[in-house]
Amino acid sequence: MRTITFYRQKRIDGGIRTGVEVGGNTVLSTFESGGGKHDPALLWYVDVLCEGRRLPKDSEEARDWLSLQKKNVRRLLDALAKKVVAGVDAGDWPVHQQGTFHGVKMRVSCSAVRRLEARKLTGILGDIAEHWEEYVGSLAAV
Amino acid sequence: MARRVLDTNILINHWRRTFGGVIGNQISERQAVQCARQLIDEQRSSAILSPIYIEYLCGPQSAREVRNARAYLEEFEVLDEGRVLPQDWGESKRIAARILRDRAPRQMGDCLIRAICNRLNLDVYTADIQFPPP
Repeated sequence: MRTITFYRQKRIDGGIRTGVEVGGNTVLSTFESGGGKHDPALLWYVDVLCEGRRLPKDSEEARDWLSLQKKNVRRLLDALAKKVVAGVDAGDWPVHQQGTFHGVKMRVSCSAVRRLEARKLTGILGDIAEHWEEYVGSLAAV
Repeated sequence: MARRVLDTNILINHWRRTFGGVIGNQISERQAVQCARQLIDEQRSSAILSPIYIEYLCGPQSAREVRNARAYLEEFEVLDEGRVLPQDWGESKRIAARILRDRAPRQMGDCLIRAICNRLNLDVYTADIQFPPP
């Protein structure tokens, strides 16, 4: 089974790392520096894991394929946001939402370490859904 | 590049959630391996660092528990490959000397983990809000 994973995660220093893994290897990535004092501890992360037999293996094909998944990803991110709004106990992170679309299993996961950030997560999930193509399109090849 | 390093407390919290009040000696190596694979799947990361490996190994209280811990840890990828460099120790000293806002003492393992993360440009997923600042 092939896998493609999109991830976006924010650090305490404000840095945001976004990337795409194909088969467990990062092939596309960007790091936006937060400008704060260097601190690698994460505040939150969001993963979109896709599993299927016919997923692309090439990085640019994976980028194109991911861009086309906008509607499906949004559906899962919206459902996940509802779960987060309903409340998540500290020990229950990460929370997941999954679905299958045309034979591809997708699982969206998110986690936040600090309670304050958990409250902001719904906005973060909405932001990823809103800017999905932009985030996927702007990643640099590794 | 691994997406994120799992800190020792993430491993320990997951182990405790999985086995609850089960006595360590009643857990098999197979169950320990299964527990690690479950965490890796849940977090979509198998990345740890050598200080995390050692910190985890400090917990067991019997030979059986040590075997389980080793079997558990073998499922993870130690990104620094056991190579802690002089610059990591230097950076650890710098981090250790920083006074936290609440004046709490710093932990050597955390300082070293942070130093290696800085060198390898890694992000660390930790439940520890005391994780030392820069």
